Amino acid sequence: MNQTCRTNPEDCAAVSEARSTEREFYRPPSDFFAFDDRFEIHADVPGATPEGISLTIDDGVLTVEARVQDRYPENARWVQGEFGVGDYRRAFRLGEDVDHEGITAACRDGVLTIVLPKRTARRAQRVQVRGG
Amino acid sequence: MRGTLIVTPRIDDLSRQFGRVFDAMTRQFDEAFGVTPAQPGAWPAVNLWHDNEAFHLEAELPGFSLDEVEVSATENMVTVRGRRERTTPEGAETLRVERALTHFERSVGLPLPIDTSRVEATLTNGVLRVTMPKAESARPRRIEVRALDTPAGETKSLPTGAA
Repeated sequence: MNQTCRTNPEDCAAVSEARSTEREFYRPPSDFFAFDDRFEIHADVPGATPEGISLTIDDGVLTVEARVQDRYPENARWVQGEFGVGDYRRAFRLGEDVDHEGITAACRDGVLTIVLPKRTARRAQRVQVRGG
Repeated sequence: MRGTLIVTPRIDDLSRQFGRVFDAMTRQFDEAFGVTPAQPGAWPAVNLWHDNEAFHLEAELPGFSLDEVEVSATENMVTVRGRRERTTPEGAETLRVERALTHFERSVGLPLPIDTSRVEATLTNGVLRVTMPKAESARPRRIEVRALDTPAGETKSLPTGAA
């Protein structure tokens, strides 16, 4: 705790704000696919539910957060602890191809699927090949 | 809760970021502690804890359905098996793959015996939890402390042969 906090209220505010934004996140492993009309991101977020998912877009960057409930009891006696449980977060920079307004997401069985439609002008068009 | 976990020396956050759990060094460490991965390739990290009643194991298996997971248990070991085909979605070009979990088998030794007839397993939101009630013999039992009866006037002596 900052010693000057006692004498200077502004220092107290600065310290507490810094602490509240300090959080640990897990970065979910994700697969990336391109279709003719869209991109898809499939992210592993075990323990997350649809209610805990939030997507925000700011300045061409899509930030995805998935909140996870604590699920271990206080009186647990640990034998082996190989993974931690906590919220997920990952940011993706969106290219010009992506239609920001049309982005949707679904979450099931601990997998988050994000669908990013391509802008119409950028979609691969199948060209009809005529014979003759 | 994260702060109280006993983390075995294994680069787990790194493996979560890159989706790769298998690592030769890790396998040697785990084998020394009674954990035997049967197949190379990615396999899931596990958490194992206990309370007075039971052992609890958790593994993160995102995207696995019920028929792709198999759990079996003996008195002192629990085995988790998963089989899943990972195919590229129809019509898609794969740009990048980070999620590696397909086929795996992992066994974890238990330090005390369990009652295999009462083991339960659930798979919710990609998290497998196995609850293994301790065998009667493994549960703590209260021992009654009695005074050793001593007739008046005689000195107490230890029985011969006692440690």
